[in-house]
Amino acid sequence: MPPRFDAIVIGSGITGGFAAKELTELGLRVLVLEAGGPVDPARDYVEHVQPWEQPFRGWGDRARLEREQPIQMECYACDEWSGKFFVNDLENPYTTPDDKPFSWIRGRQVGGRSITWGRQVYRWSDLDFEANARDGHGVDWPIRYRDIAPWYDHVERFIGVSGKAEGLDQLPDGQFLPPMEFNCAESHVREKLLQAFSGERVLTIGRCAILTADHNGRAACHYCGTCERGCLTLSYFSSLNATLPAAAKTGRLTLRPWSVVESILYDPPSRRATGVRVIDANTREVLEFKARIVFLCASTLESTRILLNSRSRDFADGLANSSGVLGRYLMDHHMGHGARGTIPGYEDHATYGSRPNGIYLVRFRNVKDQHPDFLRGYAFQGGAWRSGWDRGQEMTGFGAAFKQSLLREQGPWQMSLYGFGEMLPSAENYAELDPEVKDKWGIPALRIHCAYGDNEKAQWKDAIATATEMLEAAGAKEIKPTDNDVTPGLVIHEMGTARMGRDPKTSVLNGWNQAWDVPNLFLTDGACMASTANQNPSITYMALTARACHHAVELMKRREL
Amino acid sequence: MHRRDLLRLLGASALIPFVPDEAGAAVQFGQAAHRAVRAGSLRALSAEEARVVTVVADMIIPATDTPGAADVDVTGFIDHLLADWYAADDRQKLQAGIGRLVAEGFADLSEDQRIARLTALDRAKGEPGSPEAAVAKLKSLTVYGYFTSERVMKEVTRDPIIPGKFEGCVRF
Repeated sequence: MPPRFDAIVIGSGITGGFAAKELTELGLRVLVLEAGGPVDPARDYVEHVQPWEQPFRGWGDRARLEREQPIQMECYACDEWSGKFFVNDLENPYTTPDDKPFSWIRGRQVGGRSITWGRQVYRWSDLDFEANARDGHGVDWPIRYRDIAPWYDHVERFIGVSGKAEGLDQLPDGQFLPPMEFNCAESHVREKLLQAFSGERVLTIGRCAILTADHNGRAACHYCGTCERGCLTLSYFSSLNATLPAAAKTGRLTLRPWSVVESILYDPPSRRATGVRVIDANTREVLEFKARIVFLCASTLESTRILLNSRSRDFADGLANSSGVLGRYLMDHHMGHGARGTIPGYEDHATYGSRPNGIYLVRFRNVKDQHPDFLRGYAFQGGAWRSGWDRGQEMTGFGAAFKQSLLREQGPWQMSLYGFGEMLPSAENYAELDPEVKDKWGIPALRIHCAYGDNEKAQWKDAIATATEMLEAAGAKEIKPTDNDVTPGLVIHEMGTARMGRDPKTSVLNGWNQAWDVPNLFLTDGACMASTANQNPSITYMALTARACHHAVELMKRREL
Repeated sequence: MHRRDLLRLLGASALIPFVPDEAGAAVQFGQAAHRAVRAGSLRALSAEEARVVTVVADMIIPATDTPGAADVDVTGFIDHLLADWYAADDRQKLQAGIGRLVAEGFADLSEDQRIARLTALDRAKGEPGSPEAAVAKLKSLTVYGYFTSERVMKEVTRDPIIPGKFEGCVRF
């Protein structure tokens, strides 16, 4: 009896949702397995719920958070409204060596972290794809910009991306909806920097997966500012808001939540994955589902964890791991270094509405010249703002005049430049199965070994210096460095552990995200990445996913899979 | 937020597939918690401590042509946080500082005396457990509790939940 499904997609987050959409639209019957529960937008989207409607006025239930989500609460986006979209740390443990802390921030529900993501989208260029080959860290990417460019177009046209074309080689322009506005201080800083640095340092508006015009049946953003809490108007992109509905519309999608994938089933004679073993999250029943192809999109570390746990006689160290590099070359971006200051002027002006987007100061290091102290580069996010009533919490004064000041005035314009940079791939950063610890469903937890190295530390130092000099050039006062020690993982751009490459001896996946060892197994989430670049990675994951889906279906049509 | 309110504010009916009819369980719990507090059931502060807190909060944000902190039960909000949110030693330190204000009879001073005393406390820094530190914390909690209260958000600041647009540089 033929299997009910042509394809199984493991995970319903940003890449799983895209795989579901592409594969169903290409005619396949697709089963999406999601470890967590369903999300009901009518009940769970709370972006318009006001602080006075919340039990703790927005402060969150501290005792419960510290007990059940002590790691997740490190994330800025895990608050009283959106905390439910983050995992229970007690049910989903992991371990690290004492001297190498790692903050693994996760969702586990239909939609995954695409519900709470930062929505920033930046294309890679060949400066990024060629980096490993150029300086020898990591293995050469098996693709270049020309291979992925049409897929960036494809993804952007579907999801809707707002941004401003800048014509910079190191940050290719995309298919943009109108950009969001700068505020007064940001416009001022942009112009000053263009003058002071001869156009080499470009402050642009954030490129974001938020609609500034109605698009494909979703409404333009109305600037309530709280995307992580949900979005009833479907204005920002998530798999819940866009790709899963598109897949459902084909009639070929089956979505099974509460499905914890324990392992991928492998048939040695045919060298093929035959399906997936699932533990039902609620009943603990063990089920098996069969399909012709499997797309692994469970998120970087979860996908690798599944492969490590899919052991067999042929693959004693994890499925698709003949190279031995499965689990290795774990990376995250680094962040937390830059500067902030006060921008004089524009006291009579303010903003209207809550912009769910910041600025982006494009990478300028190691673009034309080689910096003596470090390889590769970093960019800045951030923006400018004026404090409203909240400044009263730390202000001296009280009484009628104090109250009037909070009601009628705002603080000065302040500007922050907050660096995000590339982490070099290193075999010393890796994930393995913990020999003892298991999760709530009896599946081995991960033991994660990850620490920033000298190149990252040199970038931190430079980011503080350049942010400071740029704010000075813009006329800012009271400039203070931002110098935060941030644990790896907290940027929530963890990548690697099942990298793409040109050689099956040193990589897990080929240039089509296809496992060298198991041709009907594709992996398209962050685990596939051979390097990190400095750009927010989700749009690159989505483009790789769409490209891999089309290739997989092409192979199926040719009866190769 | 009811469906018809949302639709009216957004002005377009076709593109909103999911609209809650009710705010949901979290909102109901929040509203119940606030009702209980308003009903006068203090759980952390003693009556004397609550009185001092109310006096201080009202001095920080008095009623003018708009409500003051006392009008929106900032004391109830602070009591709720002390009972349900603060960790034990932070709660103990803040209540110790409030206790010092009770002990010095702050609430029974004349208006001029209170203003002079609060001015001095407001300008100084103090160790946790001191009245200076308590005043600093009460300032922060009063401002937060006032500006996130239902009445102030709906009647005074009235920031639109659905602005509808973003403008980066508009005259004040």
